Formats: sequence, structure tokens, C-alpha cells
Amino acid sequence: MALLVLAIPLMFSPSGKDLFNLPKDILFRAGMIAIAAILVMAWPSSASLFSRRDWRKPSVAIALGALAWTAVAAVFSSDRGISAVSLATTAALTLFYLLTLRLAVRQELQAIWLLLVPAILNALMVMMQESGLQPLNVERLSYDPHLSTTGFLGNPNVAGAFLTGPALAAVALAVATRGRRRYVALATAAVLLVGILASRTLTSLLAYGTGMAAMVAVSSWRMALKLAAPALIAAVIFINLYAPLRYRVRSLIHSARTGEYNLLLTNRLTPFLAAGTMAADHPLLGIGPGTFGHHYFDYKILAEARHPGLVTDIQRSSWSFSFSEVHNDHLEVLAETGLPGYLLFLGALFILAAGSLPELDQRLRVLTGADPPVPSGDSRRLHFARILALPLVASFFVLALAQFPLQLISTATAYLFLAALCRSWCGW
Amino acid sequence: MVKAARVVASAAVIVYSAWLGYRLCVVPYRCNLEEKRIEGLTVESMQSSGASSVVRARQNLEELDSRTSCADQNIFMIRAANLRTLGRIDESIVMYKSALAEEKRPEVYFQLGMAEFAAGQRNAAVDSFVQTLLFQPSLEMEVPAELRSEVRGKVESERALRAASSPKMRTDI
Repeated sequence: MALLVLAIPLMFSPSGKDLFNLPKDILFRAGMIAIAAILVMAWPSSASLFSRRDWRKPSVAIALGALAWTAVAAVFSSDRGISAVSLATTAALTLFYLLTLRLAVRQELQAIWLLLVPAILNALMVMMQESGLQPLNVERLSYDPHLSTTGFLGNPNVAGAFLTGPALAAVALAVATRGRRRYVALATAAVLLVGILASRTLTSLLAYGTGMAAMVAVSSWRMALKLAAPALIAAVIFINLYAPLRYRVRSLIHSARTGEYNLLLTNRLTPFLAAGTMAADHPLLGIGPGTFGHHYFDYKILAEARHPGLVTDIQRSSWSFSFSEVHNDHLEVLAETGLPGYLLFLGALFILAAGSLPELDQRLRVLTGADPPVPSGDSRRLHFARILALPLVASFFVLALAQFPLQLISTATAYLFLAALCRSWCGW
Repeated sequence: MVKAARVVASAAVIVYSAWLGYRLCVVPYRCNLEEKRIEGLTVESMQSSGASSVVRARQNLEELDSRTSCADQNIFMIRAANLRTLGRIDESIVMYKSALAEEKRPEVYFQLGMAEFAAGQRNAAVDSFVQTLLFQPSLEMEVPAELRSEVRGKVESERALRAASSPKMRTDI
């Protein structure tokens, strides 16, 4: 498990057609097949990893509920072949989460470095590529050299999305530790933030900002309110000083003023509308896990027929994406698994966020009979988890509005790893 | 007896895991490498002319035939492009249709339309170009001139029809 967390964000194939995503998928598949085989061979000893009571705990039940609903949606899918693959991936991610949740109970705070180390390496790679150095075999696109900024992850957006969770975790680590460790954590947080800035991913910056605001609010609402205005002013000054962001924000403001909403959303409005129509057509079971891309062609044409303004934008920019993902995981989960699937998704976020709210967490625990936090020699572990849980959820919620962190193995495993650590250390 | 059963069960799990690993990890990894290589060679053969392009296309197809486990949309497209270079248009049409069965994409419809046009299947070509332009209007000038006005008219009427259609989409189309 530790090897997977370490290696997935760094895995790439220099001579393959797909340099980044497929190699990561393959490594994840190989790792989970090996782990599943070991668990089956160790039966019945492996069954003792989870007691009967464990299955009722909210952090376990919600994951199993999501998996079960994905299976139901896959059975009634519009394309069972594609949905079967998606279901297998969901099952593997659920196993990854549950095992991390269970194994983290006995791990100390240092376990977080399993994710922070590859995150630092990715941030450094992003910085190198942004400054013109290209050690990886990535084609430099003349029309937009920034797209060659990939880290070990695939493109600037994926790099920014991946770095967001670890960047927040590094800040939480700095808050929860003292002395030399705090300085190391602070330096890590700084490197990861610079990595996000170098990726120039607005959604990631917004998600990071939301996470930081939530982190301050978890400590003190009053302090959060006091800091809100200065933070906003600082953000505006920074955007004005940092040229790439300044141009990006200005072009977005121009699109908003001229009513070019599709350009404002970098052409994502069409897949959003297509996914919304899919959800409206199949509100209960969805169109089937993993099948958005398969049906996008017809739904895109329908969306453009109903909203001719979308076509004008595309004709002007003279190209048209064939989206395989919605670029909004809220809509993708809703479209592919229906309203129950989306409610389970929100429920999982709520249960994780409760880790930062001890009173609410306690009520949930009384309701479900879950365990209190396991005593650890290191009390900073609980502190870290309490600081990080809600900010992690806030950042993921924002990230999922314009990207697809659940659909990429690197971001999905990073967020699941952090979620499992937080839930495990807050008492699951 | 119980111990023997455990050993047999463990061996079965190992064999099954190895098979799964081969199917889900080794095959996709090899295909990822091969796809890039053969795609490069296909582009080369399309850019060259005369006998050398035909020889290259034939070699590409032979290589693809020896790797039947690689069968995604891009492989169908590469195969179709090589078949077109060899003048085997009808077979390339079958490949483009296989690629469309994987996922509907405008570039596949466009290439299918070009192949159908080359094969003299005018009506089928018009239908493929209509699908292309419904998705990607900016490709209009790439459509063969003699079909362009007919395709444009059909695209406009199809758009109007879809806008007025029932909100419930068929998902089996």
C-alpha cells in the first residue's frame, strides 16, 4: 500500500503513447490485484482486519454503500461493458480506502510523508518545466508551451489538482508539529504552493484558497472573519503582480462581460449541459458508471441544438473538444449514477468533514456505535486530522466543480489516502 | 486434507491473479508502446508516396495483425488509415465503423465519410459528414465541395429537428 501511494504519482512511461495516465492505471491495477490476492490467500486471518462492528461505522458503511450503488447502476447501465470496468476501478479504490483506513490506526504522523514526497517531486518537476527545462519526453506544443508543464502527471490541470490536497496536508502538518519538523513542513507547504502557482490552474488555486479558509475557520471563526478581507486584498494584489494569472483572470472577466459563458468556463459549459441532460433523462440510476464519454456525442449535439449560443463560441474558436469526462465530478457522478449516487457522494464528504467538528463527530459516533480515536503516543496525529478533514473536503468540493479528480488515479488515490488518514486518526 | 485444499486454493488464486495481471496490466502496457510506434510509422507511410508508402502500410498491417489483443479505437483508426493507403477502401470503412462502435467522435465520422465518398457511397458519405458537422461545424470546408451544400442543408434541418425533439434522449442510438 505504501509503495502504491509513493509510486503512483511518479509513474510514467517515456516511450508509450499515453505517457502518464495509463501507466498509473496499470500500476494501480497491478498493486490492487496483488493485494486482493494476498487478502484472499490469507483468509480467514485477513477477515479479522475488520470486525463485524466495523461494517456499521459511517466511514466504512458510506464507502460500501457507494460501491453497492455503483454496482446497481452498472447492472442497469446503458453500456454494461464500460460500466463493468468502471465498477472494477471503484471496487479497487474502495479496497484501497478501507485498507488505508484500517492500517492507519497504528501508523504515526510520519505516514503522511508517503504522499508528500512524491508531491514535492511533482511540484519541482512542474517548476522546472514551467521555466523551460524538459527532462521528460513531453512534446513541446508551439501554440501553447504551458501545456508541456505536466509534472509526472499529464497536464497542468492534473498537476495542479494533484498538488492541492498534499499542499493543504503540509500546512496542517506545520500547524500540528513543533520545532524542526514544523520548519520542514512549512518548507514543504511552500514548495507545493509554488508548484500549484506554476501550474497556473485557477480551479486548484481556488480549491487551495477555500481549503486554507476552512482551515482557519476550523481553528477560529472569529479569526477567519478577521482575516477574510486582508486575504482577499492580498489575493488581488498577487494576481495583479503574477502576469500569467493576471492575463488569465482578465480574459475570464472579458468573457463574463461579453456574455461568452462557454469561453468563461473554458468550453466546459457544453459538457456541463450534456451531463445535466443525461441526469434529467436518468434521474434514478444514471446513464451508467463510466459511460459519459460514450454518450457525449449525441448529448452535445442536443445541448447545442437547444442552446445555439454554444455553437457560436465553438465556431469562433474553430475547434471542439470531444469530452470523455464532464470536467465536473458533481455532474459526472449525478449523470452516471443518478441522484442516489450523488447523495452518497455528498454523504461521504459530510462524514469526512465531521472529523473537524468534534461535537458532530461525537453525535455520529453515538448514533452508529463507532469507535473513539485510538490513543496514540503522538497526540499531534489527532490534531492534524482535525485540522485537515474539513479543509480537505472543502478543497475537493471546489476542485470537483471544474475538474475530475475522481476519474484520475493519481488525484483519486491522493485524496482517498488523505481522507482515510483523517478519518482513521479522528476515530472511525 | 484441509492443508492440501488450502494449497490448491492458493495456487488457483495465484494463477487467476497472474492471468488478471497479464490481461489488465501487461497487455495494455505493451499496446501502449506498440500503438505509439505503429502510429508513427503510419504517419510516415501516409506522408511518403508511391511504392514505399504501400510497402510500409502493408508492413504496418502485418504488425497489427500479429497483435490482435490491442483493439482500441486508435488501433482501428490506424488500421483503417493503412488500409486506405493500400486502396482497400471497403475494409477501411469496416474499421472506421468498428472505431465508432467504441466511441462516437467527429474525426472518425469525418474519415468514414471520406472513405465512403472514395468508395462511391454518396448517401452514406453525406450521412457521415452530417454527423461530423453536427459535432464540429468548423470542419465544413474540409467536406468535399460537391457534397458541401447538401450536407449543410441536412445539418441545419437536423439541428432544428433535435432542438424541437422530446427532451428524453434515446441512449441506444
